[in-house]
Amino acid sequence: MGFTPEALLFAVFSVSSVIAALGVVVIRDPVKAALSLIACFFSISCLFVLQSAELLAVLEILVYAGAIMVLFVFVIMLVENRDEAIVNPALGQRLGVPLKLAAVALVAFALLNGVRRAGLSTPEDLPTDFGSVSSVGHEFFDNFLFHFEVTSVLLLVGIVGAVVISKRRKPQT
Amino acid sequence: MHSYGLLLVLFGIAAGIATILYAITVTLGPRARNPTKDEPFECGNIVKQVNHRVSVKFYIVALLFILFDMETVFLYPWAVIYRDLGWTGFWAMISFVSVLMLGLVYVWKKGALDWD
Amino acid sequence: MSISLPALEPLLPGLLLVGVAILLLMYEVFAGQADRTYAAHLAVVGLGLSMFLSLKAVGTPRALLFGTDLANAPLIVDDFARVASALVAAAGLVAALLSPSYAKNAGHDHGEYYGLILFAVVGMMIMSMAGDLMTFFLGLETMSIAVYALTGLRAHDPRSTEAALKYFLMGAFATGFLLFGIALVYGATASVSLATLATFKAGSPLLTLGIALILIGFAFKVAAVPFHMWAPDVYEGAPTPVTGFMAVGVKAAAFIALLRLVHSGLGVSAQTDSTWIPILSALAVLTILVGNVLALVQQNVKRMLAYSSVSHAGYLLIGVVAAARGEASAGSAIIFYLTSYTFMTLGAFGVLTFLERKEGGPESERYGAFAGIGFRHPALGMAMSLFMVALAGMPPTGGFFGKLYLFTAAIRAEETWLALVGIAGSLISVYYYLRVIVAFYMREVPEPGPTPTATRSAQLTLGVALAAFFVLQLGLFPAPLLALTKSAMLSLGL
Repeated sequence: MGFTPEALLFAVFSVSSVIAALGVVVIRDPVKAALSLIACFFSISCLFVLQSAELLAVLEILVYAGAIMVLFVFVIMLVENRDEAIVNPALGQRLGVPLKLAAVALVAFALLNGVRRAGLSTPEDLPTDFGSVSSVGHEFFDNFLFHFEVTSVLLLVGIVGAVVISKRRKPQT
Repeated sequence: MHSYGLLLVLFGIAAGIATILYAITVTLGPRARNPTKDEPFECGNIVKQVNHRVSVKFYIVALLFILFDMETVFLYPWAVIYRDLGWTGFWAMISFVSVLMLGLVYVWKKGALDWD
Repeated sequence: MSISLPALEPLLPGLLLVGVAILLLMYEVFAGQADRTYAAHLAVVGLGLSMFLSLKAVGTPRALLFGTDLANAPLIVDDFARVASALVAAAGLVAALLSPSYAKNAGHDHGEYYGLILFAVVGMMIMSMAGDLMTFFLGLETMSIAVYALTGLRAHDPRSTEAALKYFLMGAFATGFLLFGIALVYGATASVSLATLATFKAGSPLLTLGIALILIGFAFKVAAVPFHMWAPDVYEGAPTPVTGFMAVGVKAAAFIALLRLVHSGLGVSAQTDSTWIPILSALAVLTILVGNVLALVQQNVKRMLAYSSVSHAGYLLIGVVAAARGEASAGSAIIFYLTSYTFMTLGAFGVLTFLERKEGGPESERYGAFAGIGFRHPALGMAMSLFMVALAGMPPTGGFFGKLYLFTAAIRAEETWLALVGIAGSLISVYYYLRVIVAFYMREVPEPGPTPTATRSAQLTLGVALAAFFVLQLGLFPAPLLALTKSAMLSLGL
């Protein structure tokens, strides 16, 4: 890959997304961690734009930075914000860390190797309107109509489930 | 891609203005510190973390918001191309929205949106 | 492309259930009555009708919906899907019959309860018809979300909340694996259609990793060892009829989808022999051994049944290995096993529902708490003995033939050692299943607190009676179901 503005931006946003994601894990203050998560979502959205996945970029902001963050903020407000003593992790947990890292490394290696060997298409192969709102829309309504309709039932089940679980403490009238 | 470049410029300008405004207040604002000013107002107040818990009702509202927000996800591309789709697309969306509409009716009548 | 209404006719069993479920929801909020037995009746009628429609269509040609050929149709309504739909509808039907008295006792007598059962059954049906991985995923999620909510319904027991939370978190985790796997498979093959995937040669690391992640997602759903940790707590905490429904419905749907994946999609038999069969075999052996040994040491009957359900997933995995080896009879053995397992497990949970005390608590589920039930309620004692004998795989029950067909298929696929492990596991299981019977016919020790007495409920009685009838029917006359499963497998091209 030559040194293009796109490559530079890609580097900038991938680094910022990784840093922001690390921030979510490392920062102790939940509110700051949530802010870091927003930064992460934003960086990822920019990465989507660079991959010419425009609709995904919009949805990343609309759904993740918008709706899901609201939920996160409420969770932070719901749980009491007390300073908990930092407990020394048990031996088992400490032993688990290298194992988890090894598993992650294995998956990452397989992914990189796989992507390299799969000979994926390059941006030049893509149709000009790839990832645009209208092309994804056509994909939805022409090829994935059934999936689209089933999603409404899935969302309805989610709504009913959420209401039944959260409203149950009220005495029945 | 070019239009996104302009968007990036916009972000840059926004960030620039924020930085400049902050810099101005820091550099130009008068700073007259004296010991009295640094003391907490009224002696005897103990600075303490306030632990107030928020009602779980916020949570259910947020959850329902997400679920209906998903509807927007599908409405958005549909709205862009609905002229091309013709009646098929119209009825597809009608049936999608009406199922979720029933969901809204259910939530409404169930009182999940009431704040008693 | 436009869809005309007559083209949707093969979907009628599912559409009917969606309609009944929405009707129940609307009736609940607009004209809700204090007693929701009517909702149970409506759900039972809907499920029965849906089951009848599915079975009636068996033998008619395959219908592809929303697409023109196998490569682009998201829904494949063939005999396999029809038989599977009838099976999951039957599971929902018995579970709905078990529910009214329990729901009233436990204080979660909502109309939504039955709506959620219907939605879960719809999700399972979609899974069985899936022509591509996205359809499969949507069906799985519809089912899972409904079952998560059902698990957490017992308002006053923290165990129920804990169960729902555990199940939800574990399930969401599994879903993440599954979805990531699907994404990788799509990345490797540029298609989610099972028919297209079947034409791909294994060997791409991306495809291998994708399939591995999909299998991990499956293993979570069917509680195969080492992905079984959630099962005992969830089974213990969920409302008893829901536990039964979860144990049979979710498992049946997952195995049926796995079977379709193995046969028409991932082409495990043709290409991935060397990679997948050892992994699936190891999973099966671990699941059988760990499930049985842990069931052995349980003191709580519900937890014992949870581990026993883990071990049954192991036996079924043997069948999947045989199917992956290309053994044609393995698929019909799996469906037969799932059917008999459905009735015996729901029956066992039905008997437990009978004996559930209002104040509940883990103490009322110990073996000792059931002392003397067999004498005081002879019919219940007989029924429980029948279900336990069936679960142990002894004649004259459907459980015996289920195991027989499954292990025979394994031997035919030259996996004799797996069949031997399965038989060994079954022998271990005899001990803890008989222990329940022994407890039921033990002399009563006077204990503090009220003695468990059976609830009286016509629906519950009917549910347990139906389960008992089918367990015996399958044990005495297995041929009709076997013929049905064979035609189901034929429709998959075997």
